[in-house]
Amino acid sequence: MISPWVYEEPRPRLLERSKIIRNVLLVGCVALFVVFWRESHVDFAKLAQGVPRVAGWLVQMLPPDTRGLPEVLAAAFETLAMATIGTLFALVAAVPLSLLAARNISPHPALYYAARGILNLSRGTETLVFALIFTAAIGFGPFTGVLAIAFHMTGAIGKMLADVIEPADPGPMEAAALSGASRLKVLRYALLPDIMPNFIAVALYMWEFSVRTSTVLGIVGAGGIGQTLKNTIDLLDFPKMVTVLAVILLMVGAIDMISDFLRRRTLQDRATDTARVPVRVREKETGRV
Amino acid sequence: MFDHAVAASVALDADREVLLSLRDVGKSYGSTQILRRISFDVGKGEFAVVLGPSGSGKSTLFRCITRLEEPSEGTIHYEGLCVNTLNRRDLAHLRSRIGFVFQQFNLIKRLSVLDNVLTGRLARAPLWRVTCRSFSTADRQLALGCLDAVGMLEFAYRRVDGLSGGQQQRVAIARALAQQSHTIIADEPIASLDPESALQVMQILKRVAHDYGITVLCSLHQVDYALRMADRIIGMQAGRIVVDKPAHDVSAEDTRSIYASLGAG
Repeated sequence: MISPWVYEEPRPRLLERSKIIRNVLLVGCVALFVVFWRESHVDFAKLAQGVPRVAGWLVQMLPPDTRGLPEVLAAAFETLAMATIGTLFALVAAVPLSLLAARNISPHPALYYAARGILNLSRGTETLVFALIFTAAIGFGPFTGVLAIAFHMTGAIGKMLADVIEPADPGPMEAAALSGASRLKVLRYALLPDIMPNFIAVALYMWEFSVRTSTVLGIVGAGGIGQTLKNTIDLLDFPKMVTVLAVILLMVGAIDMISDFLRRRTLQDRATDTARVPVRVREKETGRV
Repeated sequence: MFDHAVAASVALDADREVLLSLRDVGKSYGSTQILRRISFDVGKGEFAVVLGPSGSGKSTLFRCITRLEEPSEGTIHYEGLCVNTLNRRDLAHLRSRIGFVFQQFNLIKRLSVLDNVLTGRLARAPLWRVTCRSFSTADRQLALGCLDAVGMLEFAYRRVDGLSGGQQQRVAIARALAQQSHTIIADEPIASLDPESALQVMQILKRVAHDYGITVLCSLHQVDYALRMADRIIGMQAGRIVVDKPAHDVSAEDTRSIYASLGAG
């Protein structure tokens, strides 16, 4: 026998504070869903009426119009170009901001909050909103798309980079700082190697995200394949629309695969070559006897 | 071999050149006193162990010497310089002249052993060399020499995260040596190591002091290692120095006073 005792457990209290709070929250959530449901005018009957119409279009879509393919591919290339350059601009702006917005290395709380504020403002404003603003400011074209992506992605990338920096091991940085190295040297030498793989992974992921986002930017006039898509919809040119959608899907899928492959490679640890070893060649000639 | 310091077999003596000097150093957080009136001098090439239970103030003492913490009172002199009043730039210079060895090694995990040892050259190397991670031949030769001194030369191009704890700590000592400082401060360098690696690390630290004439100030909580290896024992208890004498003069009575219950101290 392990224990000679008989035990009595306290009865569970029926009106525990935490339970009351939990139930009130639960009821509140359900009520909110009901309100939102009504606000959204959910109407499945309407959907049922629409289905035959879409089915009719599907018939009209076939066969896809491939005569316009060169033009569609050129538009897709423009989308890819503006997404890539926009992401590049965003990276350049995001790196210094992320250093200020990472709590562990930010030089001053005021700078931390300022940087976080800028990042949130940028991230909180959708690319499409920036695209509308820049279309009004500088007109149509792919450069408008570049700016829209750069302005939104700076916040998105900056926040992710800051989140990558914050959990970094402080030990190596303390060691480097204690050897008398300046702040810049410490960041370059003791922090960067630690976070570099994650940095690259973030950059690739965000590039992929930008390509996906920029496929619709043309709808508001910011260049690329979105423009072509909008034209086909406006003209109810369904066969060509199929071609455009197919090209978009293929491009986004290919970019996903490339980015995923590169990301995996970056995060993989390379095996070190144990055969390379330094050897003593000769004794040093010292002036001492 | 390692050439910057004059190799000399050092015997304990009172006339040794003083390198580090503390006078009435105290540290308190609010009403809690961590350090009380700490005074001692450490000479060139001395291997002094600060011995005491955890919480006795060893780490805080070391952090005060390198100004990671500001001492609340008292003065600290290092190589004739008053540590307390240094400005930012002079402080960086002071730190470059003291090598530090940590309990958790604090190596840069994704870099090679050699690149980690070269961390010891960061303060002196120009920014462009640090940025390109391209150190001068002299620095690389020095780093290889430091690795040779701790028996880690053949691991130079391995990544440090693949090494055992004992090997990592030896790399960390090589990094401290690469600073070419006259002092190495080791804060609980063997607390995370198995007994065999611990012994090896302590032997290296002892050799650093005796063969290269580098002052080693090392904190430990293990009495046996301290008595076996050190020239001198500075026993701390509840923020006070309770014993300060050559290791061979330390009695069982002395070690009891170091490990007396905190309430009785």
